[in-house]
Amino acid sequence: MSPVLVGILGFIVLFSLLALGLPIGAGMALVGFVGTWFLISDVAAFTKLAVVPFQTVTDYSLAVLPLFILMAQVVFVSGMGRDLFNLASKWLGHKRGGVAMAAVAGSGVFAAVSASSIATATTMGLVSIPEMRRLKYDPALATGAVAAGGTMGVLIPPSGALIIYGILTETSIGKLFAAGIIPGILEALFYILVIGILCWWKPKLGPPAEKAPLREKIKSLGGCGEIVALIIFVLTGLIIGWFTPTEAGAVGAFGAIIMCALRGRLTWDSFKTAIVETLKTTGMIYGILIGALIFNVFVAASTIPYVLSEFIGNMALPPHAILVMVLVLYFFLGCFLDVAAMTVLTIPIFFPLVVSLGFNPIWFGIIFVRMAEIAMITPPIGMNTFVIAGVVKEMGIPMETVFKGIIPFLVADFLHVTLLILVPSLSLYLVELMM
Amino acid sequence: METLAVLLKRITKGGTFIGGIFLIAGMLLLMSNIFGRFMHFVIPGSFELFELIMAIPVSFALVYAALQKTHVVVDLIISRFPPRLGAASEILTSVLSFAIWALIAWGGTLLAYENGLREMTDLLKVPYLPFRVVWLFCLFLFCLTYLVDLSRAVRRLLGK
Repeated sequence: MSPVLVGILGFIVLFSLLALGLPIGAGMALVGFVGTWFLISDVAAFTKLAVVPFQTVTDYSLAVLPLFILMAQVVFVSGMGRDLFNLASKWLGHKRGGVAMAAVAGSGVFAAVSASSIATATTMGLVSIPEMRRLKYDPALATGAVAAGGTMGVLIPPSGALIIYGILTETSIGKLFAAGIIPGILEALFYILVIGILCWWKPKLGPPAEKAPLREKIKSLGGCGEIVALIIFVLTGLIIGWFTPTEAGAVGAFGAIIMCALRGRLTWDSFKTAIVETLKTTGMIYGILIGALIFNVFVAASTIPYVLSEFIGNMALPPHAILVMVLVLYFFLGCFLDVAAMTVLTIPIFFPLVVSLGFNPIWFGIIFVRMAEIAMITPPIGMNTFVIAGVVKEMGIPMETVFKGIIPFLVADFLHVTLLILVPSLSLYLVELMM
Repeated sequence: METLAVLLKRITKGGTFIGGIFLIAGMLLLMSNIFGRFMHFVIPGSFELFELIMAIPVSFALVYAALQKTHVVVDLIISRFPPRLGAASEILTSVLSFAIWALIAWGGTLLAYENGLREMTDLLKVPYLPFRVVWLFCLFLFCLTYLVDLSRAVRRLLGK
């Protein structure tokens, strides 16, 4: 049996096992182990199984994950999300659709400390949707804005998805973070523009709130100024080269603990919750990564990525046409797989292909993560829409309304991805400054 | 089995506490390193020490995630299974999960036994063995969580 056929069989077995409910990490490790045994040798398979997991848990660059997750959890339990929303709401709320815009802006800043899309959507959903309901916002616009805004947690650094992409492809995490900043800001602006256009077209969708006096606006800046300063410090330090991504994670976590404690927002109980939640998420991600790194050995041995690159190369299609095909596939995969599964299952196959076509690996990381963000809101498995539907369940807003609400934001997503493809320097400008 | 489940929960609770302490210790070590760098003072071997320290929170995190059922599962199909078919599917996945993590633990044990105290970090010459032992202990707990899941799924299948 040819290695490619073994590889294809491996994927079929893996997908079947995952469909039966096998955890992704265990499934990938199992198929990777058996496949490596089959394609290389039993000794190679056992050696990888013995060596890779401990190497993974003691890997310096991987430790960036628990540290940024700790930072996010500390900010989350201290209720800083509410302050960020209040700040944006005071400055934008009096405009048509202003509170929805504030939810998006708040999500963008919260995403910069949370590394998680679900945490962003939950936090902003809890604080902003009741306010939008009070102002008689259209439920579809209110829920759609928060669900879409939450996805920015996947792209705006520090981003868990970018870290996992960097680890799987051995691409610089620091450069990926730098590359995510401008596209992340642009994404927020796109969403705000969508809200603005919708409310200009149909003013009843988002009535303006009462205008806050200047004194209140300035006061709201004090609510979360230091967290914004911390984010800027961490990201600037990373780009300038003051510290490595792992050290940036430590600075972020340490800064968040000190700031929240000094504000009296971090009690011993909430600190313990932050630690426990950090470990829970860390365990979940490392479980997948260990499996993925064992599986990668099998994928490389199957030669599928190289054969696929050669096959597509012989099709004489322009690279951008192939890229669009890959992105369309990602869109459909994203409807059924969650972000972590989509990343670890597809990157070993598509990354070598995309790089062989001459695309920049860091730029592709941003495009891939954007597709992963879209996966967070597309039915039937759109985690953010589930989260928001859970938040608004007691308000009598059904899931269909949330899905209806995300449609304009999906259009903005596609336009944004197109822009990023057509203008790679939007992603690579800050990376070039790091050189 | 339920006694084992309670015991596992208690051990893991203690483990997360220890893991949390080491996580904070790792964070503080990196902070000291950054501070030291700006003050032209180097903490020797901080890099390798940090790697070893992080093995402890991450090892306990894996077990805790398993106990909390947060390891990612694609449940699009199984969530539509009738209860008994769901239980049968869980038996299969618990056995397979147990098998692969037990193999990883076995491989790790052989490696730890072969290397013993000879395997040390480059600069500080700290032996890896104690950290490997913690890792293997957590893998053992990890496997036990799947045994508990297996027993619960079997009981569900038998309608008990």
